[in-house]
Amino acid sequence: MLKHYLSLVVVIAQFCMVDAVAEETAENLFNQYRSALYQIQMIDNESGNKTSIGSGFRISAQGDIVTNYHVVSEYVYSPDKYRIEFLNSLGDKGELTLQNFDVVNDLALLKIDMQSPPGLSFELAQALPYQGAAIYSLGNPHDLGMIVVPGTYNGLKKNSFYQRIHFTGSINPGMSGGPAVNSLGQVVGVNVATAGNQIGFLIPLPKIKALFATRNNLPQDTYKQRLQQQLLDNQAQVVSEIVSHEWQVSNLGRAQIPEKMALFISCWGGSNASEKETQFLSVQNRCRLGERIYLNSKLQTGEIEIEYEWIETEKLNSHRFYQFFSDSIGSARPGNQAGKNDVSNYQCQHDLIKNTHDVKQKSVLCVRAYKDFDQLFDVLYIAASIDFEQSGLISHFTLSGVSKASAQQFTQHFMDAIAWQ
Amino acid sequence: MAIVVEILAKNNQSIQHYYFAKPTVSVGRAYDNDIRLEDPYVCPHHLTFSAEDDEIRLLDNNSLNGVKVNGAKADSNPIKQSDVVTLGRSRIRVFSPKHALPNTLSLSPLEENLSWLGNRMICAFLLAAVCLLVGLNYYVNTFTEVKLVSVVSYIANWVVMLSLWPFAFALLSKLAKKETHVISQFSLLWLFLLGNYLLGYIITFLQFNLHYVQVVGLFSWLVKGVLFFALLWFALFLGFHQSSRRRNIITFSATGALATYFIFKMVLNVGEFTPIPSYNATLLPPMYQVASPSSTADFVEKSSALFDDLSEKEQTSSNK
Repeated sequence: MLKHYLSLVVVIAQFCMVDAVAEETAENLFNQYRSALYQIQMIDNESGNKTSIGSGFRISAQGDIVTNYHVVSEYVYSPDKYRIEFLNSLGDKGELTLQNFDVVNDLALLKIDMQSPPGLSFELAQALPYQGAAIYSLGNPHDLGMIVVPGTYNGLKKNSFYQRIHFTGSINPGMSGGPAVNSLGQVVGVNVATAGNQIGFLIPLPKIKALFATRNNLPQDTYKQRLQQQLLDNQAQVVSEIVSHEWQVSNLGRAQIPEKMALFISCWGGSNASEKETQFLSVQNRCRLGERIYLNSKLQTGEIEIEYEWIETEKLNSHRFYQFFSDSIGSARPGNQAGKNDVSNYQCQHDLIKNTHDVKQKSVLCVRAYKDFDQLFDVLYIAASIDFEQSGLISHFTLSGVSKASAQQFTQHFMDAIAWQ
Repeated sequence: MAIVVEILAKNNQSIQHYYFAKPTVSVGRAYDNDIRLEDPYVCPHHLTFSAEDDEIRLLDNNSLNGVKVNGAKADSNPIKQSDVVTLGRSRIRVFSPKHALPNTLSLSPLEENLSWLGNRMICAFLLAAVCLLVGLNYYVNTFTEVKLVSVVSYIANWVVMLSLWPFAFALLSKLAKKETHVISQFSLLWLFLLGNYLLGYIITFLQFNLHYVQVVGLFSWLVKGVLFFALLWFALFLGFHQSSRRRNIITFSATGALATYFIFKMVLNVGEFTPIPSYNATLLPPMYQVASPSSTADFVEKSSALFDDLSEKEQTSSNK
C-alpha cells in the first residue's frame, strides 16, 4: 500500500514537484501529529459552556501544552469563574491546568491532567528555518475542525520591538495557539495574529523555549502579580531603549522635533496643504509603536503614540488663532483600549512651561491607574507652544502600561526635545 | 350711607370698582340698574344691595338663577367685606367705603436709584455692547471665513431668544396689574449678560495663567451664582411689589434649586467611569501670558503627586 502510494507521488512530482511534496508533507504531518493537537476551550463555570476557543499543542510526553495567553486570559483574570478544557482529535474532553504564561509574547503553558496522553508530541526545532522555507500552520479556525495551512517563512518582522515571524499564509480566528512547523514537523512558532490576506504572524521558537524552561505551577493567587512583573520588565526595556539613545531631529514648520526615536517606532506624515479654502496650514508627524499587549478582552496595553502638529495661519488673527489652537488640543484621547474594571479615570495637571530650549508651552499631563496593577499607569500628555502670534506646535504622546519612573523619564525627555530652528 | 361695588375677574382680582353715595344699589341686565352686567345668565333686575347701620344686605329679586355668596345659595343675607357674590357668571364684591386698607408701603430709595435702568438710551447702549460682544465671540470662535450676514443673523437669533426673559417678566407684571418696566427689565438682562461675558474673560485669563484650574472653575461657578441671584432679585423687584422678605425667599430658593441641580449632576458624574481625560485646554495669545513659566523638571517633579495620589486611591478602593 505504502509502496503504491509513494510511486503515485513520484509520478505526480514529475508534473508538479513542489506542490506534491507540500501535499504529502502536509497530509503526513497532520496524520502523525493529530493526537498532539487540541482545541482549547474556556468553560464558564456558571453555564458549563465554552465562551471562547483556541488551539494548542502538546510538546512533551508529560503533557505540556502550549497555546496563546489570549486564549486563556479569562482564566488568568478570574480563575474561580472559568476552567480550561481540551478537546482532542478523538473527541475526548478533559481539564487542563495553567502552569505559566508570558503575557508580553502572548504565550501560555498548560498541562494535561492525564498520565500518558496517547500519540506523538511535537518536537521543538533546533533553530528557525531559512527565509523562503515552507512551513505549516496548524489550528482549528472558526471551530471547523483541525486544518493545515501551508505557507512561507519570511524571516522576523522588521522594525518590531517584539519578535514575530512573518508568515505568508492565512491564519484565521480560532487558529490562535496552534503550532507552525517546518517540513520535519518540528515546531518553529505559534500562531498569533493576522494582518489581512496571506500575512500572518507567529511567535518564534526562542520564546517558546524560554517559557518551557520555566514550567512550574504558578499558584492561582500570584497570576496578577506575575502579569504585573512581566509588564513592568517589558515597559522598562521599551522606554529605556527609546530614551537611552540620542533622538534624530527633523523640521516641522518653525520647530525642530525628534523624528526617529527608535527603530521599532514607525512614523507617518501628513498635511492639509491640498485642501482648498482652509484658513490655516497644518502639518503633522505621527509615530507609534504599533504593537499592543493583550491583557483581557477589554484591556490592551503597551502602545506608544507620539504626535506633532505644526499649525500656522495668515488669515486668522492672533485671538482667533489661539481659540482654534485651544480647540485643537482640547480632545486628546487615550492610545489604548481600557474599561472601567481595569483602569481609573484620568487625573490631570496643567502648567505653563519653558523647556531647556526656551520653548514656552502650555502643558497638560493626565494619568490613570490600573486597578489590578498598582505600579502601572496610562499616561497622556498634550502641549501647545505659546511663543508666536499666528503659529504654534502641538506635541502629544500617550504611553500605556508604564511605571511612574518610566513615565517621568520619558516625559522629561520628550518635553525638552523640541526647539525652535 | 355709601356702597362700593367691585367687579371681579375669575381669580378674584378687581377689574373695576363703583362708588355709590346712596343706601341702595341695584344690579341686573336692564339699563335702569345702577350697575349693568352684560351677562345672559343675569336677570334684568337681578338683585339689590342695601346699606343699614354699617351692614350691607343682599336682596334677590326672584331671579331665575339665584345668587350665591362664597359658592353657597343665599337670598337675603348681610354681606361681609371678603364675601364674593356670584350672579349668573359674574362675580362681584360689595363693601362700605370704610373698608380697612393695608398699610401704605414706604417708597424704596432703590426704586429711585434704579430709574436710570428705564432710560431708553441706556438700554440701547447696553444692547449695543451685548451685540458687540456676542458678535465678537462668534467671530473669534469661527475658523472659516466670516460673513457679515452670518454674524448679524447670529446676533439677531441671540437677542430674540434672550428677549423672552424680560418679556416674560413684563407680561407677569401686567397680569398682576403692575407697571411692566419692560425697558428696565431689558437693561437688567443686558447688564447681566455683560457681567457674564466679563467674568468669562477673567476666568479664561486665569485658567490660562494659573495651574490650579479647579479653584478657578469653582470661583467661576460662585460668581455665576451671584450674578444670577442679582438678576432674579432685581427682575422681581422691578416687576412686582412683594415684600423684601418674600423676594429674598423666592430668589434664594430659585438660585439654590439651580445650584442643587448642577451640584447634583456633578456629584453623580464623579464616580462614573470615562476613558476620556478631562482637562483645561485654554490658550491665549502671548501678550496675555503674565505668569512666569516653570521648568520641565519642576513639571515632572510635580507629577509625582499625581501618580502617588492615584496609587493611594486605588489602594484604598481595593482594600474596601
